[in-house]
Amino acid sequence: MLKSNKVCLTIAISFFAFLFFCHPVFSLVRVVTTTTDLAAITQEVGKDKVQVESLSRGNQDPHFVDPKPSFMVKLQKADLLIVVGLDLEIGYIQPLIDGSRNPKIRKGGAGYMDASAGCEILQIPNVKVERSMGDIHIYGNPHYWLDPVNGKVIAKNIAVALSRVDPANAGFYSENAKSFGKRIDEKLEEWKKKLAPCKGAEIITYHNSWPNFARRFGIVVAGHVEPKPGIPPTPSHTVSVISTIKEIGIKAIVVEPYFDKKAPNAIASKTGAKVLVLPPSVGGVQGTDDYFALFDYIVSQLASALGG
Amino acid sequence: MTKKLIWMTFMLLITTFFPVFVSAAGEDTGGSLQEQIDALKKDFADMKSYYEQRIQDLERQVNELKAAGTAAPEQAEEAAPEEFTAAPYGISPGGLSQTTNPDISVIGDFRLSYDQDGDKQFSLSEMELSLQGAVDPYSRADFFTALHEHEGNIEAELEEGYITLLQPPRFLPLPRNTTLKFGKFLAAAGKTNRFHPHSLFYADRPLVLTNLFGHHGFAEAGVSLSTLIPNPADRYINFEFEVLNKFSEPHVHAHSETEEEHHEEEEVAASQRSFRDWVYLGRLSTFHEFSDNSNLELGLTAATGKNPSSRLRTNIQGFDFTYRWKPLETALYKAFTWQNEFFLAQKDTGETTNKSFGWYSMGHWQLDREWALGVRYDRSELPDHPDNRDTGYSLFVNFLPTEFTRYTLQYKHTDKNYAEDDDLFLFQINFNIGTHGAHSF
Repeated sequence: MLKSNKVCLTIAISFFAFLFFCHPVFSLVRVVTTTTDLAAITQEVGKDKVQVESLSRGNQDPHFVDPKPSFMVKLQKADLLIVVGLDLEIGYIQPLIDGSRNPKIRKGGAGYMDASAGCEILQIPNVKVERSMGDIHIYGNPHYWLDPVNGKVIAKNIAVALSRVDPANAGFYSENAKSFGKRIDEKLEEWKKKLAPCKGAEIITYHNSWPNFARRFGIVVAGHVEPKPGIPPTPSHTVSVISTIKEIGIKAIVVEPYFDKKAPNAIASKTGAKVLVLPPSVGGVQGTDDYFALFDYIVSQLASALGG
Repeated sequence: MTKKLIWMTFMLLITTFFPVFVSAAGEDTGGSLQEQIDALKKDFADMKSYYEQRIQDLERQVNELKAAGTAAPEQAEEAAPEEFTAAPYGISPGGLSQTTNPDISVIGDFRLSYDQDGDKQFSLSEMELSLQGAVDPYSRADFFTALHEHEGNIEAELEEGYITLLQPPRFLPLPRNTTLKFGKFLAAAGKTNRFHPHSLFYADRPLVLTNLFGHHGFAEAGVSLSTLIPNPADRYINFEFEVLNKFSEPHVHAHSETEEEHHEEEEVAASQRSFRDWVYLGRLSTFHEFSDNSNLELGLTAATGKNPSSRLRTNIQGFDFTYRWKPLETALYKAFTWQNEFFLAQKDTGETTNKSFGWYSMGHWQLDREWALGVRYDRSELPDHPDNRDTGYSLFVNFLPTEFTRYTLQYKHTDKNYAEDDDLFLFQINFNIGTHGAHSF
């Protein structure tokens, strides 16, 4: 009897010791973001004081993420959830927030943050939106992180949210956001210079992911491979894209890594335009491991495709 | 007995609310009226200066942002379609109207069916209206009503209607990571019972489920508790416990061969039923990710309760597993799902216990963006006549032009060892307007 008690006690103690040592990151602020871009910027702002994880991967269509049950466990432990907003996550985030049983990260909670606040949002519809128009986002185009100036605003927002959940390090976060902004300003000049020869150049993009990027760098999006946002290519629309490309002399068709290359390749072979696989998110292709590397990659690819 | 119960309730109320009375009484003892007014004035002045400061800050930020916005080149704006404007700080009219209403959606289910009796007909088999939204910071509500066509008549049904408490009320001694559900809902009896027909890949429900619970699934009024079990591996382990009025039973037609005597009996009135007659259901489910691209979901279900009519006990045990393969980069075009559910039902008839076993296995391939192909094998012993067995072979093709419409062509052959075999051709269009809440995995 006594012996079995001792065994029980030993097991209990070792179990709790195990639980204790399972959490080496006890003091870090745990942040979960929906996209890799937000994770990358959070890392810049939070540095070694945060542990960041993104639910989606960079090579994944951010509109269609499966609400895997494992995400609920990640969110249950989160101090902060950062979303892109503008209904980008409408297909999966609500069951995850509810399933996490974590009141901190519910909408309106201190641990819920919509990164779009204060960003320049384009294409906000001013007519009643119908599904006949495709997947139009009623609050505007959600791909706003592809403007580095918006990246600065996102960093500021993240600093504010991190200070909310970790007030002791508020100064640290706002300093980091500021220095991130400075680095963006420097790099922005470099990127603009690189793309200066392509100013006014027209491109075709698969999905309407690039309005913010195009506006910032003076590139014009002349059309999309999709007939309407979210609607797969149709033969008749493909024909019209081909004639547009021929008419204007467009050199590049930009395709996100997660779309089928069949239609873009067919258009390319009929027109001589080049298919450019450009990742809209950090980690979408190799060598785009942070927010700066992402723009370095996009800018250099576009410059070489459009410049010549 | 009753006296004792009333006394106990009274004591419970007293002990629960006593601290509230005490704290409310304590707040009344302030200084003189003038002191209080002065204190209020001071608070107000503080507040005013605080908000003025904040407004100035915000104005400054807005100006900064405006400056940043105008720095962008002009010509890109012209590329936007006419009905869009680059209004960075506005709220669109569509957005505004959406903010206060619950999410409203209507799902239609149109069918053309053709069976071996030569019955061929068009039908709008269901219109589902759903209203969903947050009630307050602590809870959300979901309502699903349906209009069905049944033998020429339109039947209205409240499929589901429940409130979900996202955290247990403070006075209940439950773990904080528990959610509670009150209302009528689809019970956690296996994996697919909880799915509405439009979120399944096929047009019917698996035979084992229809033989156990009927065509509309096991939906009953009751209470549900769901909790995530913390574990050092940070694995998803979820436990659900539900208490429901009764089992849903298949609707037996008057001339059906499978008619059971006790179906003719009147249901036992609710007043005669005790809490021992309710259905108690537990479900344990877990989820394992092999990689980002593939995962496995496992579930165990057990339920016990008395039949509504006979007051005899039925026990149901279930096991289910779903394997999914969906490479993230090509998720829109390629996926494979393999889903399996097994049920063992033990139905007490008074003289003997009817043991029936049923299962199905379903494979579904996403072939490209718009096309998918599926097969399902069904095997189900009838719960009231375990010697009678249905074996089903289904083949179905889905065409999905967008995520809001789904065309399904299904052929199903049902082999019955007690009656003539069944063949069914079905063409279905599922379509959705409005905002339908995101589905769970």
